[in-house]
Amino acid sequence: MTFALSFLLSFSQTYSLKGYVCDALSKEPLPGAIVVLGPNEIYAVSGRDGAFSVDLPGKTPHTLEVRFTGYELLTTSIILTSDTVLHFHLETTSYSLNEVVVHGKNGHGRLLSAITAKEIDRSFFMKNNSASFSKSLSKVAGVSSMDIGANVSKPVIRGLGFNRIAVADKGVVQQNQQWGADHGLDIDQYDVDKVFIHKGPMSLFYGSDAIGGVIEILPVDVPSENMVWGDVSLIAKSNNNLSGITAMTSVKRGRWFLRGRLTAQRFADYRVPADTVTYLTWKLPLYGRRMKNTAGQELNAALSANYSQENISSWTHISNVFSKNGFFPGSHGIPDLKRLTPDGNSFNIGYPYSTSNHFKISNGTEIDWDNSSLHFDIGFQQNNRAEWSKFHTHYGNQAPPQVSPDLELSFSLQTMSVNSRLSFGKDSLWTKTAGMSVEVQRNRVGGYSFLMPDFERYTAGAYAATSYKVSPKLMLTGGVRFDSGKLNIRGFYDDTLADFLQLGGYDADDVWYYAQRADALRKNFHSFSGALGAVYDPNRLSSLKINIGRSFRFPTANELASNGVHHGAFRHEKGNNSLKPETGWQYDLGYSLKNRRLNLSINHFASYFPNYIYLNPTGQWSVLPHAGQIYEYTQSRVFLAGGELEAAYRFTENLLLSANWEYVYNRNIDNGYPLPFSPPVDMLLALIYSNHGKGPLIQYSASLENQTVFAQNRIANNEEKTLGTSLINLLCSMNWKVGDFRFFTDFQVQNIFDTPFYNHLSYYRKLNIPEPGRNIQFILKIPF
Amino acid sequence: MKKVFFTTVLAISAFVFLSCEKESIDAERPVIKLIAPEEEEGIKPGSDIHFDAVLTDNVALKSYKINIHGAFDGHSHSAATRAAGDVVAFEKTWLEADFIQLGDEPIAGKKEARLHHHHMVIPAEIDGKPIREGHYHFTIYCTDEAGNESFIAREIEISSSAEEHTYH
Repeated sequence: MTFALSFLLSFSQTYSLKGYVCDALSKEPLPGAIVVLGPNEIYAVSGRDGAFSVDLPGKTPHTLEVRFTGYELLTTSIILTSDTVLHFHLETTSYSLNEVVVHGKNGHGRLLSAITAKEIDRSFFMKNNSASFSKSLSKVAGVSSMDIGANVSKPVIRGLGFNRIAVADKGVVQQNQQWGADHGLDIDQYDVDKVFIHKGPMSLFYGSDAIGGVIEILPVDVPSENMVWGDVSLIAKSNNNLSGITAMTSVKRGRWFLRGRLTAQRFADYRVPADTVTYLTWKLPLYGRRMKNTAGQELNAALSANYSQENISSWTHISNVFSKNGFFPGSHGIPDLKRLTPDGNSFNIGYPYSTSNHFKISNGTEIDWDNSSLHFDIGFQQNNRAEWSKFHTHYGNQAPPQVSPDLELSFSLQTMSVNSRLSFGKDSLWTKTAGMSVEVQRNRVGGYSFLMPDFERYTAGAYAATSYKVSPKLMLTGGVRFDSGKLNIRGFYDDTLADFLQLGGYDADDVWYYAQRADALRKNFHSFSGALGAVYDPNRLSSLKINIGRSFRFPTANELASNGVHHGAFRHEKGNNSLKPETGWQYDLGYSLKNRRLNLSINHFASYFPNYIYLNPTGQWSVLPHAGQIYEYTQSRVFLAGGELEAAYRFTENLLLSANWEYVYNRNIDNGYPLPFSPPVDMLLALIYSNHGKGPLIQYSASLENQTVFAQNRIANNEEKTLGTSLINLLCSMNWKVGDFRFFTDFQVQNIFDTPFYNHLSYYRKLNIPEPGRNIQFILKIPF
Repeated sequence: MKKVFFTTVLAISAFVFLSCEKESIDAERPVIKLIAPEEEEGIKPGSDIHFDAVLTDNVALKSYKINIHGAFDGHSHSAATRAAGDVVAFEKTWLEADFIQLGDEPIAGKKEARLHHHHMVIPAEIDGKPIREGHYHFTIYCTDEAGNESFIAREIEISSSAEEHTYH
């Protein structure tokens, strides 16, 4: 962090500050850098030559920040005693790509909320590259991941997952089969550039499901200059022999911007640090310490286009995410030793496996005029998920289907969504926003098994939100929203099962009770949500946020209507058609402090659900094979609380120590039990050293991480207690330049000591299967 | 302001952590000790199963259930297992209630229950067709009064060449 000063004498009370922002290495000017001057928050943006100028009162201290994407933040303080010229030499962050670009204006107006939002950029994903998008996010305090093997996972925010959080991908809420335990997110982790994690109730802006929080994926920043660039990355991981490639090309010409990305990955069965696992008193061998049939493939394509002029910015995104993942044979059915013997090929995917294809097309357009803006997002999604398993049945009278005899389950979900919002007074003290959203869904099922009924769902909501800047230090936010929904579920009577039960001598009532796999239902739901918050910034360095919000979600079709044995959970799960919308009240408190050495953030939350939906063991036996007692969806009062602590302390310019800690407490008030899938206390310590290199090595950064997961002894009925663990990881990122050829390398050793451990939230936890063992991974990124 | 903030956090945290966990909950599953049938035990069609098990729970047992179904080709259950040629696969669920009707004492409320009976009969034929011989899964489920559940599965072989077991 170097800056040169030169003084020009002047005799006025206000002095002018002129600055030049340039790249420390190439000395090229950086147009579009953002300069923030405190304490009165004067913003300036550097021009084409990297220059900016402001007038400032003299003889008082000013904090000064220069921000530029891909560069280290430069902060300093100055006292002007004369007109001054400063040169700012920004250094690239170790992970920066050659995206030396910043857009003139952010095309998408941010939603104003007093809920703590954690911003994550491309460099985070490069540095923390993990098996999936959700897995990478789990390094953020307050976020955990539910894993299904090595490469599929879904996010959990403060212990709430499934349909209790929403993932908004460029303005459109991702809709797939998120209620299911073995479902992944269907997001290409390499095509994510900017993410905001909102840890708190966000129904005000996102409607149903945004109870626990929202993971908001934003489009990439568009450069202001005409340019063509791109990159190719090669990925290799040792644990599951993964090889992958992802390539991106971007073109900016005048008002148009176009970007495309292709990603392909293939991986073998993953390795665990165990020779056997004990499940249902059987000792199952894991030959070669590999989890048989957990190999997979991934193929993703995405295209984004942006058109911008003075007062309009329009994005169109098209993406298709495909994956095929094998399931460990022991996880479907009573494990059989013969099915676990190796077949000589760890890359093949045999039965059972799942395929998932998510296609999405959306347009997000913002029109600005006179301090006002109109924003709308229109999206269409088609999610096809299927589970394949060699035809099997308990019912002797069931014949394999003629077409696709081994298709066990299929779900085809179409979602059309439209969101719009109108904002006034964007740059004034008082902003007003009114918005509405409509979503239409159609789900169709197939396969020789049955899990979830066909349904159509229609939801619509309208909201008004406002923010008012009482003083430069205090801002108040608030809003209300009303949503209405309609769910039509098609009933399903299982004739095969009915015949089977009749043959077994069951009476008509029993036959009907079990064979009616889904009740035909027409349900209407309504709910209101709202938020009230305050942001108090006592000074430039610290900020205090408080928010109280009410969120909701409408019950899902499986919670309302399904009835039968869940083939993955081995439980007879029964829907309950009298469920009411689930609502939650939550309070959040956040404090953050940022100075030259310390970056600190403390968050605390507590929430109350008067009617949390969960599966309750009824104590009544199911007569169906592969099921014990019947579990029925029930509503209960639930209390959750917890918090996160994130601290980063810079000892020297090169050495940084960071610590993240997260804790969630929850309890079903009515029966006293904790909720299922409660994340244990998790602590992540990292010691990071970064410096300039010599010769072709321009910059490097190495970090040693220690992740300590505490034991989870607070379990719901029929969960397993999970032991804690402590893992050591090594991460190293390097930025190289050989002649004119630049490239980046990222090297990681995860779980260095190959420590066996369990993830309490993992799909395979109930089979006592440990998480993947040591993994050495290498990513080579070549920009052009 | 900072002081107010930290005081609030402390107060709320203290409330949260002190106000909970006073009720005792039972998340411990019952334990099933299955003495007979043994793994790979042979059972003759037309004979009954010698069933011997001990169920225990830390608080109070509730009930148990037994299911037998085919496990023929190495897979847990395969295509159209019932009507393979002229033989019929056997599959049946017994609930504890069925055994109580036959005079067994209910296990509900007990901490330990010894089960020993010969109520489960493997028929020699179903609908006039001989029963399919081969490997079957013998599964037993047990619940406690708090809703915790245990499950054990064992492979048995239904075979006419099986030895007649000696009754005890």
